[in-house]
Amino acid sequence: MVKFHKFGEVTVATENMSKTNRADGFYAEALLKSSCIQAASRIVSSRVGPGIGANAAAEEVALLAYRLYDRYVQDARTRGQGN
Amino acid sequence: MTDMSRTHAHVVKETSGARAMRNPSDIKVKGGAMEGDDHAAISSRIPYLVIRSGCMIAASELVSKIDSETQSRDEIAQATVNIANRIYERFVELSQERRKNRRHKVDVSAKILVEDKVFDCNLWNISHGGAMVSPLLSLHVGVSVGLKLGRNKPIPARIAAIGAKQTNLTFLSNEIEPEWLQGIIVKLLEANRTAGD
Repeated sequence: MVKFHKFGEVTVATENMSKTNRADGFYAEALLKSSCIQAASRIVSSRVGPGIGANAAAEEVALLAYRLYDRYVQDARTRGQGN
Repeated sequence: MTDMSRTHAHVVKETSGARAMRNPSDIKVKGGAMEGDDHAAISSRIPYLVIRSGCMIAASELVSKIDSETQSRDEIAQATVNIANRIYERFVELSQERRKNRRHKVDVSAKILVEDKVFDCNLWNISHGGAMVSPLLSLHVGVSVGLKLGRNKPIPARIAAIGAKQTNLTFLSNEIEPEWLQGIIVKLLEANRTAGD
């Protein structure tokens, strides 16, 4: 069975697919993760100031980035249903 | 080619009859010199590099806001790299945790045991944290049940939600051996795949 996942504009099939498509999927996924990390950093850094621990800020960015990524993928899958 | 890759090629040649026909120079080992399919090797690292670069950009933004004590360029660069590494490591950890709890889509018959009653249902997906089965409208949220799959002993669970289209179960993880559950999931996926072929 072929499953389709949407990462932004790119739709990725995760089974019975060629090596090239799989590479495209990993690339698209990485781009999305990278964008989420940058977005999370912008959100966190807008709320913090000097004196905040770097590790605490990094932790917050990672958590928020992952939440953004997770939410985005879920949303894309929901929108992708029936297509 | 490195010594490490030569060793690896040698082992493969001796232990695998089928692979013994291969030229040992075809064997690629992480850390060894790239040759032949350099392009493929670089391509496979692009996703990793994309995420790493995102972490660097993110860290740069954070350093400019949170750290007023780093004065020299060297200090700023070091602080940026440290934070970028930290973000990357945590992000990967979170990805791995999620992968561990990934839901597996299946379609098999199951039974829900509640005290002395048995309800037939269909199992639609399962993870290490819980499962989704067809609607069981006669049950209530919070009720302790056992999910019986094939001949395995019931998996202790609790009704987490009941909808018109599905019933969600949460496994009682403190009563379950993770390896035992993993074994059930693996067998289930294999059986489901075989049935679908």
